[in-house]
Amino acid sequence: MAVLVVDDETDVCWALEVLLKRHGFTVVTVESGAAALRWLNGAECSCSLILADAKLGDVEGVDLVRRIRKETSCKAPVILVSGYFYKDDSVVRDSLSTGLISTFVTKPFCHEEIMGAIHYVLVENRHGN
Amino acid sequence: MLVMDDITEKVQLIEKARMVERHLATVVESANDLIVSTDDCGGIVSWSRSVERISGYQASEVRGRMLDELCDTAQREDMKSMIQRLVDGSAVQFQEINLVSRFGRLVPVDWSCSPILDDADKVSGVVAVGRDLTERRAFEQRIFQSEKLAALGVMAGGIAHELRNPLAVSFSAAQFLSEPSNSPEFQRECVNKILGGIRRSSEIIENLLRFARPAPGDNVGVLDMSALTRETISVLAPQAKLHKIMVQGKYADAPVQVSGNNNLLQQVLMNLILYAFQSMHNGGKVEIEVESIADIAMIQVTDSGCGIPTANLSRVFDPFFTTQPVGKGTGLGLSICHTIVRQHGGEIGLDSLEGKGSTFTVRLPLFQG
Repeated sequence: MAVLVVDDETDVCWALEVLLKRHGFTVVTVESGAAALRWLNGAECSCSLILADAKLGDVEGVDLVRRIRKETSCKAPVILVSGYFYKDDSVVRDSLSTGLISTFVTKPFCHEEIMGAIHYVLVENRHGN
Repeated sequence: MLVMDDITEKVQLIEKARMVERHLATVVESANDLIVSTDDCGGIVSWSRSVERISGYQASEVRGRMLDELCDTAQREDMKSMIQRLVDGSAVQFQEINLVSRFGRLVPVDWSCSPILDDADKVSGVVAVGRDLTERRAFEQRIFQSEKLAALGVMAGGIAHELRNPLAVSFSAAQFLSEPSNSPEFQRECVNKILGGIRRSSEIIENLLRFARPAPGDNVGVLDMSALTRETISVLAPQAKLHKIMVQGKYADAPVQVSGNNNLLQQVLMNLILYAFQSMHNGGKVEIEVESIADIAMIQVTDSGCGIPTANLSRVFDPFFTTQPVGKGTGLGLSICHTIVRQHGGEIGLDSLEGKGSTFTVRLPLFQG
């Protein structure tokens, strides 16, 4: 099962990649919104989940998700990971309530917490579909 | 033959003249402003009680000494040249020159000097009337500090974001380390990530604290505006990244040295760059150019933001003038820049085109080493 990690911090990508691989996922990391869109539009793309940073160098995380829905065929659920927003910020609340993102995790994250969120989203998504 | 002359009137006149003289002396002695007179070379002739009080020197101690000798070392030439210009018949403007008290304290004084003319209209000396700016400076320092804290508030989001990334990496690496069956190479990799994260976090905090600390008013020295600009850009890097703004510094090959207060001049740069950030709602570019032109250090901050409407151009440096919503800016940032630059003997200007962007230009006297 492939997970796309989008974060402009190389070391955050490293941490998420190591963690997810340890849990049996295939991981692709990219460091910008543009690279994420390119990869998702690529021929070999098959993505089950996206972990997106809320503040990327070239685009806001939630705007990237909107563009993914519009410009690619990817329907994979998105977890927003952020060191900037809080759960009760309106951007996060609105994105959750409209279903644009499936859940939200703050940085720094506890591995148990983020893995719990991933399993919850994947299970939820399976039932939802 | 005995000739008698009635001198009653003469005695009365002399007494009257003495009274006028005493009255004038009392006026000078009672004035709160500092009143000093010198001969045409700058040697002190009179020294009012208010100057005695502020400087700690009695009139009898300073009479005959050169006035510039009692000024701040770095500004002695300014006082000398001000007196010389008056003696040469030129007009001079108000000038801020520090007096050095008997105990070594620098007293900021705003001097207004005028020539004393003799009967032949020749300049025989100079009268210098000064106003002690100590209290005003202390008040300004408090305003500068509160504005600085307000700027820190604006930067808080960017700083939190910037700190949480290295924290997240260190936190993850530590969690990996706590798990069994890691290879020695991976353990080393985790330790390096943790060390890198801590180093980066403390750099961010250190930059921030350096900016946040209060600036002692007399902390004046020779500094390189290029180095100060580089440091300021690095403090603001988290904020720039957050708003997708590219900040580019362009520097002269040689150091651009000015004499000034490091912390206050950094506050000027910080406020100008933050102002530029605020004018760009969808990212953009800020260019800061530092160069020496003749005897001037010129710093230009150019943004690709929304620009300033012509109607507001004359008001942007006014205190409390803001177009930001309540709670989003005090309206003091640019007026503080203006005050600080003027205190350093420089000037600040603005060119702006609505919809295209703005350029703030700061000109400061180059340090003549």
